[in-house]
Amino acid sequence: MSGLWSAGALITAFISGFLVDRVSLETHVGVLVLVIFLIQSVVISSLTPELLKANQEIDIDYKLKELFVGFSFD
Amino acid sequence: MSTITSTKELTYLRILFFTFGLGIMSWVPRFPEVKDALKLTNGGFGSLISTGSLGSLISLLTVGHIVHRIGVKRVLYAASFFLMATLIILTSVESSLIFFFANIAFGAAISAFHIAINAQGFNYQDRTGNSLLRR
Repeated sequence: MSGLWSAGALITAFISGFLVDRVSLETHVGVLVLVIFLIQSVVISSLTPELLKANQEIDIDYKLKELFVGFSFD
Repeated sequence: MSTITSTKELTYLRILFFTFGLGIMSWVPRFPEVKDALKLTNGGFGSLISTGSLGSLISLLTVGHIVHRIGVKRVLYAASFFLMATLIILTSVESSLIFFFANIAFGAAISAFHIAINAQGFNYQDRTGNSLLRR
């Protein structure tokens, strides 16, 4: 999966490099962002039946304090 | 509720990973234009860009718990929206102060999307037994 992320990053870097001095930054990013957001929205919606649901068990609950107490660098 | 096949689910996860990389790296080759719009020096722009890690750190501390509490779907929708909205702000703004806050939000949204999508990836891996992500 990291490979696909990297492939996306590499492809967009090439495209962006090509678009410099050809298309304005606002147009480039605006169109790209709109297309990606639409694709991701459709995909997330399609994935809905399998997406992890919220935890329903009350006894497995994290408190705000645990965010900071449990934090450590490794 | 209807279910989808594991092959389809895998394809959808792949699309999410791919579009994630495609979106967040799109503005990097155009940094000089962003820097010019902000009228900053190389050092100033570099320092400003690195503030994204503040948002990332906040997300890394909290989003796992948020996923636990509200589920992956809502986190993915919110992260996707904030990623794209902040990317538009970052590439069109001329104020360093607005850029600073947008960049923190951008860093937070990147980490939030990353955590949610990987949580789903591990869940897929546990359910199907297919090796998908390295532990």
